[in-house]
Amino acid sequence: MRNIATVKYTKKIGSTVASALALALAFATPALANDKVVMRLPWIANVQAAAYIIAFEKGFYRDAGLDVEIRPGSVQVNPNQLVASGDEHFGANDSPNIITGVSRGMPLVAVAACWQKHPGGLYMLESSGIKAPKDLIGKRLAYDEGGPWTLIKAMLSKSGVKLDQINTVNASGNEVLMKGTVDARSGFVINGPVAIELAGMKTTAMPASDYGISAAAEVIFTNKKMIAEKPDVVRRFVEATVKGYKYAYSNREETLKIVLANNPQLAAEQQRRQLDLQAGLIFTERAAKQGLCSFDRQDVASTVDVLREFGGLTGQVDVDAMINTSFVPAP
Amino acid sequence: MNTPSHLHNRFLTRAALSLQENWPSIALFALGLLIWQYAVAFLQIPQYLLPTPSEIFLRIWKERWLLWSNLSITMIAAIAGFFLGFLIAVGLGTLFVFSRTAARALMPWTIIIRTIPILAIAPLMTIWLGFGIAPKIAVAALACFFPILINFYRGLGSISREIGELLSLVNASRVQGLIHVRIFAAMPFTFAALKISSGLAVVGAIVAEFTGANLGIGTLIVTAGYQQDAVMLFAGIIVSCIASVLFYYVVVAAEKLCLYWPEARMG
Repeated sequence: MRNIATVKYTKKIGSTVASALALALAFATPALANDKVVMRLPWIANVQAAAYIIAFEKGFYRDAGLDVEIRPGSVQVNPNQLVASGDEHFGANDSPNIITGVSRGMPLVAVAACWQKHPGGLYMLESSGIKAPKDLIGKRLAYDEGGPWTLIKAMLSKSGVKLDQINTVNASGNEVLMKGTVDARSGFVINGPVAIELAGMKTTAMPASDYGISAAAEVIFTNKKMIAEKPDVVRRFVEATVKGYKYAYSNREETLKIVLANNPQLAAEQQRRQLDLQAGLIFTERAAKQGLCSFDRQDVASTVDVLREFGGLTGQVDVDAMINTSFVPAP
Repeated sequence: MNTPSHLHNRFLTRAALSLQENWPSIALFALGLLIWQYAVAFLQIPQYLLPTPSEIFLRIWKERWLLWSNLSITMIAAIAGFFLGFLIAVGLGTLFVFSRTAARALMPWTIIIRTIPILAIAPLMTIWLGFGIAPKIAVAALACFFPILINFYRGLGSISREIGELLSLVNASRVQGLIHVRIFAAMPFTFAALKISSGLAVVGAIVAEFTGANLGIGTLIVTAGYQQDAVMLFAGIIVSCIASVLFYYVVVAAEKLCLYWPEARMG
């Protein structure tokens, strides 16, 4: 609402002073104003957002004629609503999250799926001896509600393990695992285990993507209005971000330095390991063949099925209306 | 004679009287709901940003058993935490009256505890106390003990100089002074604090549920957030508000019962 108001206001001012400015502009250097866009991260500005931070700091956005403001996310802020309402232009979220938003009537369109494998899964101490879903039978498992948990439920079901064969408790944090209160926990396999390893314990991970559960993370999305009115801005944003991905992961030391300089509160070693683990989710076989951040209808439709069965998804989802795969650059 | 029809008439009279007294607030409330309902439709605000009150109330009705079962769990924790906080506050306040050293030693600690952000301490409580009702009670108690302590302690000291002199004149012991005079002096202060704390206890229990619980209105709100279900989110918020308001009026009723002497009500 705010942005629409601002745009109208600018237009009005523009029309009244246009003639006066035209003369002045005729003598000025011919420079086009960059398109201002706001990008809302799904999480704080750490290495998870490396590609956007690099695209910004290395001038990829500016070179693409974009004036990008990157805003950090938090547990309490869901980029979906902000982009759906038109207050912000782009957001990133995992595909289950975006699909759920669409099922609530949000006019969101996914334009790039940068982490083709979702980091959601289970992790445990190596000493637990748990290596496959079947090993969880009779064990204690801590979970918290949300994206990863839905994918884990799908993984367990696909592996023939019923939820009531496991003692599940709703609890957050790694401490329950480290203390031995539980044997496994749900979460993101790129950061949860790293924190435990840094505390001196060996871990193993069981990402749902290894068990054929299809979902993507760091999916860039915008709203239908942007697609209709400014497809060129969307294209430039996606292309510059993909460039950011390539640069960030080919120059990891520099990336780490830039991310840490942006947010000195981050722990360097933890961020280094997370960046390395993320690379495995991004630079997949498919990315090599079809391009970084590429995705197709089948991926999203398959995630919708998982959500219907395990994520309590009930609303209408028109898969074709919520994706546009034409903005991702060819490899 | 208390025949049924008599009682019925008395009830109607009281209801009419109460309506006469409270019509401005009822009218304002109804007007607020109407404006909300029609503004959402008129401004075409999508449901995921702000649902209409009718959608929310229909949902509350449809999910009444789910909401009730979760709300009752939260309220049990909130009420238990409220009483725990009350007992700790009254215990500490009494101790402070008898020992100035204890007051000086412990008061800074109570202030430090007061300044801990509840949202930050709640996950730790879950880790320390497990996944059951205990962390919820602890957070609720933590949220409400400080206002009770401050007001109770202030109230205990609020006796006038004349009364103080009278107490020493009749050679009353500290315990006698406490039981016969100070407790009564503290009651109006304490009830003011209890009214504040009733709401804080509910918020405390809900915050504890945000960080790790299987049941409770806080869990329901978090799940609705993940499901991006704005109607359910509002339904959860509204029923917890209603429960808090009811809790508040229970405290008000208790206050009316306890503050039976005329002077107590004048302040």
